[in-house]
Amino acid sequence: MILPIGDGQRRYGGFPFVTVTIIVVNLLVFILEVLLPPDETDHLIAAFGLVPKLIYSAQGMGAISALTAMFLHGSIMHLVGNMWFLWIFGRKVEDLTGPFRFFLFYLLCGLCGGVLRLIFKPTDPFPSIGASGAIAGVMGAFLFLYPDERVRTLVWLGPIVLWPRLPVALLLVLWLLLQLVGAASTQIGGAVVDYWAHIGGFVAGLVFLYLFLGQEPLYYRHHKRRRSPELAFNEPLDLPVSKRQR
Amino acid sequence: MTNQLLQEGVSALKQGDKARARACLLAALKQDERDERAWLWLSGAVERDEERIICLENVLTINPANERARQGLAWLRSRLTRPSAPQATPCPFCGAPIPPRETACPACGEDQIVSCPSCGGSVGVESPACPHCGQETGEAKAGVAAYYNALGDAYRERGKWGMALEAWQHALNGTPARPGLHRRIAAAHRALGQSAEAIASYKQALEEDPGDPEATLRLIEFYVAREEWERAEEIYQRIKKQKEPSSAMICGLGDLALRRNDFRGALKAYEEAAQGKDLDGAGRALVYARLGRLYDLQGEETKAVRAYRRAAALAPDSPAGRLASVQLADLRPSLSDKAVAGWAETLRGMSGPLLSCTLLVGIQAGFNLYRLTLAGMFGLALATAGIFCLVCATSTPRNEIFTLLLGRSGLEQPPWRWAVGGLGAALALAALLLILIFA
Repeated sequence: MILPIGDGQRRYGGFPFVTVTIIVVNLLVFILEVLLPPDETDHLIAAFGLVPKLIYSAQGMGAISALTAMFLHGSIMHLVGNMWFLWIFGRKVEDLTGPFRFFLFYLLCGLCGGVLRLIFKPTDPFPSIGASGAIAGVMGAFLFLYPDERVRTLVWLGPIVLWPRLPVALLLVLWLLLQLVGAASTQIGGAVVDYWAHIGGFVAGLVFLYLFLGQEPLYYRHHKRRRSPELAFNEPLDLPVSKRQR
Repeated sequence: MTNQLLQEGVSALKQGDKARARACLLAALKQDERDERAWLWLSGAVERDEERIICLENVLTINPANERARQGLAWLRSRLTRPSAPQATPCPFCGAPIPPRETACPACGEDQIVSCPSCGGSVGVESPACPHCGQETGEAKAGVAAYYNALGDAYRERGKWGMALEAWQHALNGTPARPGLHRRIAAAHRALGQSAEAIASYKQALEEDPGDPEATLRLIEFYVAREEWERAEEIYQRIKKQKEPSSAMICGLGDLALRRNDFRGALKAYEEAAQGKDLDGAGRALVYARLGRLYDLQGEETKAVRAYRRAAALAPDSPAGRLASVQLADLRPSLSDKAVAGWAETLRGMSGPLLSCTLLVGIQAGFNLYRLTLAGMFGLALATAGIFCLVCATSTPRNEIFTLLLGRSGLEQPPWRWAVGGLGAALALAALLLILIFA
């Protein structure tokens, strides 16, 4: 098993409000799913999940379902896995886009993932749920923004447990290859995982991130910091004057 | 202004307040040294005949026809040539009589005339101000220590640390220990690079007042510079035991922690010092500048920017404030015109949200052009207008359209920015609802 467990080094901005809010909303929706009786949950997923067949036949919730599907999850592992990846990769992307743009970007990636599924599985009668497409977009954006970054990764090979800092490019390209293989296999047979949504989201993240980058980070990323006179800590500075001392 | 000072000086002299008269007349002469009347009146305000002669000579240099000055000068010169009866004055240090024209007490040997810290002229120890330049030097009658303290302070302000040290040591010898005097002497030793003497004086200052923050912090500084960690640590522990250490002390603890490469400890101390209310603006600015630098070193740019901004706002003219401004300009240089006014930037900002709306309309229509509804198309048009307003209000306030409508600063003025931003948000929200519900 290979699992990223840290997002590398420094972040540019402050607290990742939108990342945290998305995680909380997903968690709350999942709690609602769990609290509802199984039949009601199925109805909920059928109504608010993205069903290609319904979209093409102009039935169901239409575009609303493309948005709501991003906040529904099928199992606790599905939720935890998605939210974990969002937490690892989302914070640094939100740093450079700003919270509002990050939210729009997240939605666009989710929509693109859904659109790819609509294109490749137009007759699929089953609802597709999960934030995977949007989070794959965030991962694509991470690759776009920090191609040289290394992330702390848990590598679990039977009895051997390692946590090296692997290059993000290696990790995400490997992940994308797995999705492509998975997608190809779903074209042959059925699958539970919506690989097309992952690929669509990832590509959207890579392609469209530039449109959502905040001005300041975009500008400062190209702005080379000049050498400033540093506050020399090893030289005595005038002591701050206490009012009491006067 | 000169006239006003002259009038004040004259009236003070008439009231018998020679010190004030001297100060006013000297101030008037500082503004116009060729003021004949000021020199003439000053000759009446000074104490010694030699000084009176100088004043009157100046009057005659400016106006050789001044009859009063000529007569006064002749009278003074004749008086000086006459032998006068010896008149002893008591020494302010030991009380022994000092014959006239003696510059030192024959009993205790103390100088009775010192050089003015400002102009270098001779000033009697009894004189509250220099007769040549008006520099205040203290009042011996109120106490010798006070006089020498003031004299030392005056030397210090002019950077004459050696003279200041001498004056303060006089003050120390003449009276019992005065609060803060050891600290001043230590500061002079420190400025003169005499670290051993400085340490000894700071220790004495601490014996007088164990809570003296400057003495404590300077001692730490010396020990750190000499890498005498145990002694520095000892003082550190002493401060920690104090019930309410001052913010300056806490800041000093931060410095100590930093020099020991304890970043976390330094950060904690500076953060605590920044919360203290007993610092003045420049002191707080210094603490924030240091905090900013620490955050910057740790890669916490946002926090660093926030700290630098506070430092620059608190004391923009202080060294720390200026340094913070430089660092701030480095971390957050202002955006170019292209970034805040260009169409390319506006379109870049609009593209993402518009693409999302287009995809929603497409999904709603099942990617079938024939199923595209009027509501969907109207929603897209509305979204375009709303997103344009939002992007201009938040990112490109000097967009061409808004500069044409509202002037050069465009949407940079807060009321317009909020109004257009609010309108944009309302339009975008309406468009979204239109697309999702009616399209």
